Amino acid sequence: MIVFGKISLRRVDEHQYNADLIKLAASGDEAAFSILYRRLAPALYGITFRMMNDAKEAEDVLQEGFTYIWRKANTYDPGRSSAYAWAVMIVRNKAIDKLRSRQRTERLREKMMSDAGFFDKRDDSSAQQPLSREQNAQVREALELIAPEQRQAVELAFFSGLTHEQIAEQLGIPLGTIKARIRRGLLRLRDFFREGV
Amino acid sequence: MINEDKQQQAIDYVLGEMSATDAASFEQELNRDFELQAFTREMFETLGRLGSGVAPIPPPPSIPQRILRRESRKVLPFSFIPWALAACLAIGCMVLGTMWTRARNEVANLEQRDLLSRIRIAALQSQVEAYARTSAIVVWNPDRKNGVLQFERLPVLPANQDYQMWVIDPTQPQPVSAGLIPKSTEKERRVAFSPTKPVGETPKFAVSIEPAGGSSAPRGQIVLIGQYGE
Repeated sequence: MIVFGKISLRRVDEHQYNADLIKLAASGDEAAFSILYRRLAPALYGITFRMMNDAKEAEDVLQEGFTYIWRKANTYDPGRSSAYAWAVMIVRNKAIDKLRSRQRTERLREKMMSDAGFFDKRDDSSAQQPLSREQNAQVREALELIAPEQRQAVELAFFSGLTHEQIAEQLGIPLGTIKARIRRGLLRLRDFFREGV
Repeated sequence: MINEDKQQQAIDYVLGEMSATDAASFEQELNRDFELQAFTREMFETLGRLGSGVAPIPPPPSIPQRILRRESRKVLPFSFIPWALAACLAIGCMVLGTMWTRARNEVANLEQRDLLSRIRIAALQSQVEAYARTSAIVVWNPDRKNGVLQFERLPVLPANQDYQMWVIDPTQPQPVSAGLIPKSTEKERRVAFSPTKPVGETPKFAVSIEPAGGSSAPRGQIVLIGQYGE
C-alpha cells in the first residue's frame, strides 16, 4: 500500500491506481503527479514521437499534455474513460493541434501513405515493460485482423492530424465512406480488445 | 442498441471532429443517455488501446519538475490577476512553423529589412475549450507599437458580441484596447492593430469577448492570450 496525504492507494487495479493518482494530483499532490508521469509518460511520449516525427516537438507536446493534466485533473471523470485513455486523448489532441497549426500533416501523411504505417513492426527488442510489450503486440495483432482500408482510415484518423474531410480528400474517397470505415474499424477493434485477439 | 448515426457522433466526439457547439450538445445528450455513455467510453478505451500499440519511449525525466516549477510561479499581486495568470500560460509556447513563414510577408510590410530582428512574434494560447482549435499569432513591431494578429478557426460570435484585442502592459493599470476584430466567417484571417495608448517594450496580447461595440476595459471572457520572447 502506498499512502499519499489522507488517501491510501492499493495496487488492486491499474486503472483505479491511475485514477487515484489523478485525484491526488487534482488536490495538488506533486508526488502523485510525478508518479503518474513515470507510469504514463513512456507510452504517451511514444505516441507523440510517432505523431510529430521530431523529438523536440514530441517533448513539447508531452509537456503541454501533462501541464493540461495537472491543471485539469479535477475535471477527469472516471465514468467517462479510464485515466490512461483520458491521458492518451489529451496528448493526442495536443499533438494534433500542433500538427494542424503548423500544417505539417502533408509530410506525415506522405510518410504514412508510403508504406510503413505508424506501428513499427521491428521494435520487439526495444526496452519496454513486459506489460507494455504485450499490449503493444496485441494492438498490432488486432490491427492486422481488421480490413486494410479500415486500418488505414483508423490510423489516419488517430495519428495523422488530418480531419475526416481531409482524409477523404487525400484518398479520393467520399467522406461518408471514410467515416464508415473508421467506425467499423473501431467497432472491430473494440470487439477484439474486449474478447481477446 | 445505439444506431449508426449515434455511434458516428460518439466517434466524432471522441476523435475531436465535432465543432464546440455540437460537442456541447452531445455532452448534454451523454448525460441523459447511459447507453450512449457506455458506447462513448468504449470508444475512448479502444482509442486509448490503439495508442498503446506504439512502442513506448523513455521520456525526459525533468518534465514534471518543469511543469510544477512553472505552475507554482503563478501567484502575482496584480489587480487583474486572471489576466496575469493566463499570460503565464503562454510562456515557452512559441508556435512558429508554417505560420511564421506566412507571417513573414506581413512582417516585411510592417518593417524595413534591418528592423526584422526587432519584430516579435507571440503565440496566443486558448484559455477555454471552445477555442482549443484556434491558432493565433501576433507579429508585433515594438518600435512602431503596432502589429498584426493572424488567426485560424476563430469561432463566429453572435451579433450582440465582438472580439476585442488587448495589449497588456505591466506599467499600465489595465489592459489597453487595440480595437475590435471585424466579424467574418473566413477560416483564416489577418487583422492589423495598434493600441489606443502608448505601451512598453514587452507587452502581452489578449483577445476577449465583449458586448457589441467593445469595452473601454476588458469585461468579458478572455479566450486567447500570449506573450513573446519567454
